[in-house]
Amino acid sequence: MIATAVTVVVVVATMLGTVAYGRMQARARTISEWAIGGRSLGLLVFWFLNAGEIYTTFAVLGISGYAWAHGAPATLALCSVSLAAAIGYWLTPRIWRSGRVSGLMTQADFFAHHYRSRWLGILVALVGIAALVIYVQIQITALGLVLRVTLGDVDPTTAAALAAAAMLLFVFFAGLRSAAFAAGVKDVLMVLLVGGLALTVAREVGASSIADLFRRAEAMAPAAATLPGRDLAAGLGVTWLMTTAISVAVGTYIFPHMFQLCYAADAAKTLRRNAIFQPLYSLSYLFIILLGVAALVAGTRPPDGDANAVLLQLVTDRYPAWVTGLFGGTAALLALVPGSVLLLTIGTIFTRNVVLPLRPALDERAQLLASRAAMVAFAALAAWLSVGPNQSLVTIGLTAYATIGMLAPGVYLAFLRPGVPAVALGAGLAVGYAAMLLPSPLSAWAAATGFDLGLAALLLNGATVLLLDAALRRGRAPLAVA
Amino acid sequence: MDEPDSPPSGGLHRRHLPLLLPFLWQVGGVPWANGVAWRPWHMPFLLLWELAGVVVASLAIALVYRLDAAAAPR
Repeated sequence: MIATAVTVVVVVATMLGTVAYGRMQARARTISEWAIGGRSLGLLVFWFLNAGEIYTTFAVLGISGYAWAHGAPATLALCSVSLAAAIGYWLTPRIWRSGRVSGLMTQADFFAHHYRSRWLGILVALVGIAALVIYVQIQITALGLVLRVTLGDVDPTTAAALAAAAMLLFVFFAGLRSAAFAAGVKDVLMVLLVGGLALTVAREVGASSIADLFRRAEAMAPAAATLPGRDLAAGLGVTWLMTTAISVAVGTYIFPHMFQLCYAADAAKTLRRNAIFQPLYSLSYLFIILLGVAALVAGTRPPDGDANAVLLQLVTDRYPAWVTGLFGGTAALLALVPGSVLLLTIGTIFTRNVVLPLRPALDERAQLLASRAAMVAFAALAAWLSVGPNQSLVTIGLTAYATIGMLAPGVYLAFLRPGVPAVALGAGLAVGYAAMLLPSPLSAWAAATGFDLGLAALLLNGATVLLLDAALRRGRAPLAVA
Repeated sequence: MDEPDSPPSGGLHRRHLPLLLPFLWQVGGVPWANGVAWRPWHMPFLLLWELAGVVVASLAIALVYRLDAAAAPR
């Protein structure tokens, strides 16, 4: 009862605060104000939004689950943000600049404009929307998990509908700026909470200190301290960690919502400074890993052995009801806030890159209306998908990740190699998707060695683009090579 | 021409090289760090190595920021 009350208070208070903050900011009147904060976000706000999109339910619940079930493979979390920032330092100001110079707002805008290709813009828009809907679905399903473990029986359909409605409310009126407020609240709450839990958890599970906690964990599961961790069959070895870390780093800013976020910054300098400070946030993943280790020592048993639920189960088992409630509420925000930014991105892409090419006469107000309507429709779709037949969340998530990652050559080459034709990118995409989705010697090799299949497919994709580009250049300038 | 605030429009520069350092540390160092048996505070060495890598990444990016600032036309 107390847990439920605290959970509801955390979520509702954040929601009210966000709506009030949005009203203070005045209702967004143009699609640019709504979707990318009028290109005016400063360092602090941008930092919170960027961190907020990284710190999702599956970062927090997934990593603690990995630490609990596998051990050392959870250190992937500590590489992902810093490596993405090293790339982002170079990449994001370039994306930002393209938006400033050419008035771009979405990733599909970027592709259509840079490669002067309408079909490529529409293709990128559709791929992006599909992947984002899956991401929203993951967040809604994760929210259901949070409510089930911390509060007990909750009707899945009701939970999904409420989740979708809450996500919409966060961004419906004021758009990205209000999401930034909610992200700030959620990030601060989460860091305080996992920090507090990490500092007290050793005692709660019967260890004398954090060092003692690790000593006990290694005594219980000696294999957990090094790669490949406790489960040899999972294939999470050295090669896996290395290639997956690169894959995540390359893909982070290729995600349509992260890409679009770059357009919201007020200056290139903001993005560069953000890249300096963003990695430090990921130090807090140590707390989350620590909690996963504590769950191992405590012998925590999540429902159905679901590793994603182990942190929630640990808190529910070992802490007073108000802490469980606070954690449940914060974990709910972890799903809702990133989900709202995903929906905002879907709405913008749909209007600018699907509707606008078909009906170019749409004015500013009509565009905003179309974006909001699209957002509601896709939220409903994601909610509906989430109550459908259950698939493994991790599988769906990785597929979405790899799907989007395939767009990477088009983004990086735009800044490294001028004049790549759209058709070369299209061919690269086709080769990449085939390599990733169809069973082949490549996928067998990847499974056997632990090499990240998405990265392997991406390399093939990139090689195809470069080869075709070179061939087409020769074809265009026969005198130069003769 | 570039605005003073915006990045040079070209691709990679030599002064971006330190951005490779986080990759050398956090990815390249994995085979070695995973084999180290030392357990400071009983913590797995790989975990501490990657934690340190986060700080190294921040410092490397900050270094490039300074190099960029110094290279920018005044």
